[in-house]
Amino acid sequence: MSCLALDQIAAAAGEDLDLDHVAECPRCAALLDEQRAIRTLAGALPPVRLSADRRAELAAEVMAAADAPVPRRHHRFVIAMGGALAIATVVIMVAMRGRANDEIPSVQVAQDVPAIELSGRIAMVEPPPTIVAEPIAVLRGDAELTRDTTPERDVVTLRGGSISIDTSQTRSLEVVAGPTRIIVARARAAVTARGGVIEQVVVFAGSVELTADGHRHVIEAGATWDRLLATSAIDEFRTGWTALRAGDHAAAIAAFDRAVSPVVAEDAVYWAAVAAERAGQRAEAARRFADFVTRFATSPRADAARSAIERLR
Amino acid sequence: MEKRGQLVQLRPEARIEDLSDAGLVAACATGDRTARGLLFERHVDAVHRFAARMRGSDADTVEDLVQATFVAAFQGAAKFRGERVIAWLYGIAANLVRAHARHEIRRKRALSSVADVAQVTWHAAMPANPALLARLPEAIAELPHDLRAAFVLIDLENERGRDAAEALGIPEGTLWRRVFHARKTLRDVLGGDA
Repeated sequence: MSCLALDQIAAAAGEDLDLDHVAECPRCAALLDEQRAIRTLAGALPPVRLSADRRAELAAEVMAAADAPVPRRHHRFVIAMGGALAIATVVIMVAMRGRANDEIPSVQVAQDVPAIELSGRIAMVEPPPTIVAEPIAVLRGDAELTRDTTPERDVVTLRGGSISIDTSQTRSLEVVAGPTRIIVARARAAVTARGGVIEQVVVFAGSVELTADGHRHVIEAGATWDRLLATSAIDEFRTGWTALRAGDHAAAIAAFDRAVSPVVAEDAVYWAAVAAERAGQRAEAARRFADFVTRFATSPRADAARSAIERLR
Repeated sequence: MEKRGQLVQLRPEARIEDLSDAGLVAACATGDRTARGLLFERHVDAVHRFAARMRGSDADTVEDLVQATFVAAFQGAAKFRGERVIAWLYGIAANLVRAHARHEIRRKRALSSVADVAQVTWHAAMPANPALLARLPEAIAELPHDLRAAFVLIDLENERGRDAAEALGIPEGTLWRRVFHARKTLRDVLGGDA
């Protein structure tokens, strides 16, 4: 009769397995009992919990850290690695060119067919592939623009004027103007530009992703993004955040209240409520949290806000 | 041109809240802040618990590790190929804890210094001894990193062996051997004559 291996004994304790051998072997039974004892003791440790406040603060810190630009030394590393990878790729492609020409299957492109409906998960597993060409978005409005449509992307460079875009049944569309880029996918929106700069985006259905100043924002249906408003709102939000961290809750609330652009509104409304609670204004804080839940019911912070409302009752 | 794998439609047909963990990670890879926020909300408690168990009572360090875990996850989301997102996050956190440990001062106390304790007879059915329970977190913190990570995932987070092994990037047999030695070390440190 050979005894159990140590990993078998540990697994038996960890996953509550019954092993016949244990009934016959006092040594293995003792080892198993010891292992289970430690596991039982560990299970009696008090739970580790993250408070709602710390959780929300941590969330803000994580999102801010994730949005921060990559340090320069990382840029250099990435560029160096990219260069090396590009060289290696070229070498491999040249080496395999002759063979590859015989092996690449042809691609059938079906034209003039209705847009396919995409929802949920789509598993593409069965070759041969047929790429269905979706119709491109129809633009309406009076605007000065150029359009570059390729199989991969449909990009409009907007210099001035207004366009309305509907991609609810078409391919997605990118609108670029100066440093601002918008992706309209399965959405309806209106975009206004002046002097090569996007001034305003109004979203009627779906949501639009807007990248400005290196930051990406999601503008949901019913919201309007305004460049000047957004710029000042971001400044106000930063002011509020600094004041909150410094414990100047009144200044924080005032600054957050001025940050009304949809780019930062969700954060600003929430943190204004937090500032009110920290200032001891329980009723005001509860009102602000309730307002937050109403306006941003699907926010990742909605649960924390509801908890705060319960706490403040 | 051959296409394989999965495409995940993000919006608007499917609300982002309805996405699976894998879908959320895919959305995170595009820089979607909503997806990032949601991924954080879904898993922050587990990651925080794991980091806290790995780092003991050092709250600031724990939160730094949680933050670093999610930032690393967002940055590496495009590379995610696993099945369980939480196992992936545990793996990132474990690596960060190990890296952090390399930079900190030598442990305050060696295992031998806490071995001089009252002898206790161990058996699984005994109720948790409050005195032992009070010393357990410190004893866990004194475990070598590899043993500690395996022990925390199995006995504190109640992960299955297969999932914990995936998180740590080791074979399942290796994982269970580490768990065995972790428990045995804890028993020895806390005092045992069995």
